[in-house]
Amino acid sequence: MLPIAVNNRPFASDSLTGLMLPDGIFESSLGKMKLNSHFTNSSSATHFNLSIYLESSSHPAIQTTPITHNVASLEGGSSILKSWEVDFSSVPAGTYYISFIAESLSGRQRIIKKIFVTKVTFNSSNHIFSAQTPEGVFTVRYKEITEVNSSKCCKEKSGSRNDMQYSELIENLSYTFSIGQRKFQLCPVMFLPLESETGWVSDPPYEGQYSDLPYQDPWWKILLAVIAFILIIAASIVEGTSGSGSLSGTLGCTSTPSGVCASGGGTSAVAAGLVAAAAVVAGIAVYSDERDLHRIGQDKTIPGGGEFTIKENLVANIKYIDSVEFGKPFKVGVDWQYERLTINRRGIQKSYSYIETTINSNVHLLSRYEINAPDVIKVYRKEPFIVKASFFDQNDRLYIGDKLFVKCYLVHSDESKGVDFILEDNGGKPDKTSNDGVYTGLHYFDATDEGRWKVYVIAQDVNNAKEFMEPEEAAKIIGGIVLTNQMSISFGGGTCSLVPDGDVHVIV
Amino acid sequence: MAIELEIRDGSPHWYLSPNIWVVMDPSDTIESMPIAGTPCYLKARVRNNGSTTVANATVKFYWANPSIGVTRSTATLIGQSFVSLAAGGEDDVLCLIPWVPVFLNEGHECVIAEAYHSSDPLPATTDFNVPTDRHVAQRNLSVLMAMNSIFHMNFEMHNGQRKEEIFTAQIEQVGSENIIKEFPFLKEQLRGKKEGILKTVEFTNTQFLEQSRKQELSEKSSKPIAIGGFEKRKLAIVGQMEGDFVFLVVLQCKDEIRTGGLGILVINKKS
Repeated sequence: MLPIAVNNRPFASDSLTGLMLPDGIFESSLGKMKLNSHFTNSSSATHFNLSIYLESSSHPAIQTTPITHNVASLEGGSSILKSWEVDFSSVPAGTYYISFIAESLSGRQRIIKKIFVTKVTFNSSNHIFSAQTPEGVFTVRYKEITEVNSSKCCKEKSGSRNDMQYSELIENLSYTFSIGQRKFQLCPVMFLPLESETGWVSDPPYEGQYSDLPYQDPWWKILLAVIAFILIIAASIVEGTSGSGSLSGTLGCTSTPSGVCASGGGTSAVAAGLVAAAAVVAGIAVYSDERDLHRIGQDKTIPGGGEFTIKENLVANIKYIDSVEFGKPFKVGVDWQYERLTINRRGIQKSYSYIETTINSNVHLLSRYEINAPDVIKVYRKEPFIVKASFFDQNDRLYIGDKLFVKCYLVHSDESKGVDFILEDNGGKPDKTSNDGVYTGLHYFDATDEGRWKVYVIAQDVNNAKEFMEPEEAAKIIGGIVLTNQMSISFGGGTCSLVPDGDVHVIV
Repeated sequence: MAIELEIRDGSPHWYLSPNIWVVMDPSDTIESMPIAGTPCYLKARVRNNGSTTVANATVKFYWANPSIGVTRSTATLIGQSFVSLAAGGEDDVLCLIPWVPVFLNEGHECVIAEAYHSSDPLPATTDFNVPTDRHVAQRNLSVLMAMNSIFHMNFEMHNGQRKEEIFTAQIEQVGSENIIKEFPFLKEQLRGKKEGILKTVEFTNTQFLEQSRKQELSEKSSKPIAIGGFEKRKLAIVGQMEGDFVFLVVLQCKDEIRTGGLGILVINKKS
């Protein structure tokens, strides 16, 4: 058998932004997505002329565009990232399996891996987002979010404590993306929750103190993060599709024609991705990686014998103590109240509640990162644009190999076009040495690309939980969080521009 | 002969292909018998006889009730997979969509697999044409338990044509040596058992064997049957055997051409 392994769960990336979804979870309302997987040569010998393809999936509605990737060589111990376009639009929420084949003249290997698919819907009458999972339905209602000031930049929170107006939110977010008019804005409008109410209805109602985790793996906050992510992606797609600032009751599929998804790129994609990522990282920090607030609520409320929990609610008031900055240990304060509603066999309902004030920190950290790329490219000399990047964790140790998902986004100075490409640390061209912590990627500009381009290198961590882990153990490991800080959200007003990692002048 | 995909038929019984099989777990390498109500998975061995590498060929898997003359419109699609093969290459292909054999048929179903590519397409017909089309193979094998040497099995005959046709249904005992060679998993089930003989067999129109008729089995082993256009006919066989096991084939013939077949291994539970 060929010693090729997939050590991490295959993960989803969104077609518009190119970024990994929270924890790599697939979302059916986003329709066509990329399914990405790192393939690792688990031997010490180099393997040559590999073919890697997606053989089969465990649900007929998972529609794959078949591609066989050819890999000239893969050094021992190194990992290569491969992607497939997969349409999830008709896939019900659930846990599914994917089989990959890796083969060469030396042998063949079938690798079967698990993936998770959510299905998010939006009820415009009560402003509730629902994420279906096999174990139950998770809901969220944003009561208060960050406000946008007249210059479309960051401002302190809004004063209203009424339910937020989604049309206003979408209008503001749409300003950021403006894909339809191709007006790319470098000053993204932020969306961060300030007061939210989340709910969990286990299916079926459960007896005892603890419900199953969604998918028997991630904490509930991952679902919250998925909802925040797709709310922002949906806003950008709504704008790209219709130019209007409205969000219909059927969020997702109806607003995600593949043509729009394929038009990603440019600053809008970077902005959309980073705004979404900011909402994700903030939400994850609020609910804590170590033990989800919903789980703590279950810890603190013990139902009586013979009672079944039918609904759980958690209201969170959030205060951003520090600026929300990717890769930094920013602090978030949260006043939260958990309520458990139970019913016994005689139909008598009872409620239990727990109140706490917590300060949590972002634990997805990067002490620093270094980008190395040429600042001038002469197209007439056919010069390649090679980007090298290294990322150091909080202990100043290098991230290596399949520990990160790294992309470089290039945005032309007139913001009319953009491209993106993957950086890898696998020793395959253009990368020189595998697992040395230098992620390398390459792009060739052409004769139509003259001018100055901004360079953004975005790194996300990868969920590397092992399949043999217990659900509560696996849930503590979360991937898909942006680590590189091209954007910082402070609450004192002023500008919140995207900060590129550099630029390059292209001479044709 | 750029790309030439094939799933090999059974030999000498083309409807008993050893190149389609059932596993209880996707990682299993040893095949299993399908069990009614229990999810299982199908695998097929696909070969590229052509001179060119094929990338991303489609492999479709179907099931049907124990039947003869099944078509694409009467079979149920389980799922599809992809395979890439070098010229002359051959590989197993897994369908990860579970197949749950239904209780109605006590787990005995017919499975079909077909492999094709845009450069090596399927013929434009709903008929599988298993014996003549190299893309398609069928495994129509049932294992049946006889009680006190008497057995009974329901099956269907299909007419894939628009107009009514008269078919002949035939049943005969065949030697098991070649069959066991092609389906090694049967060895375990037949260990220590001796091959017996078919004493009597009859086609009936009833779905269940009536107790009173058990002693009235005749020698009839061939029967003409009219089936309307695109229709199917439910039939059954009842029979009596002697010994530990017999291997039978049920054939659907049209003008002496075999248009369908079903293999049945009957194991005498008493022995």
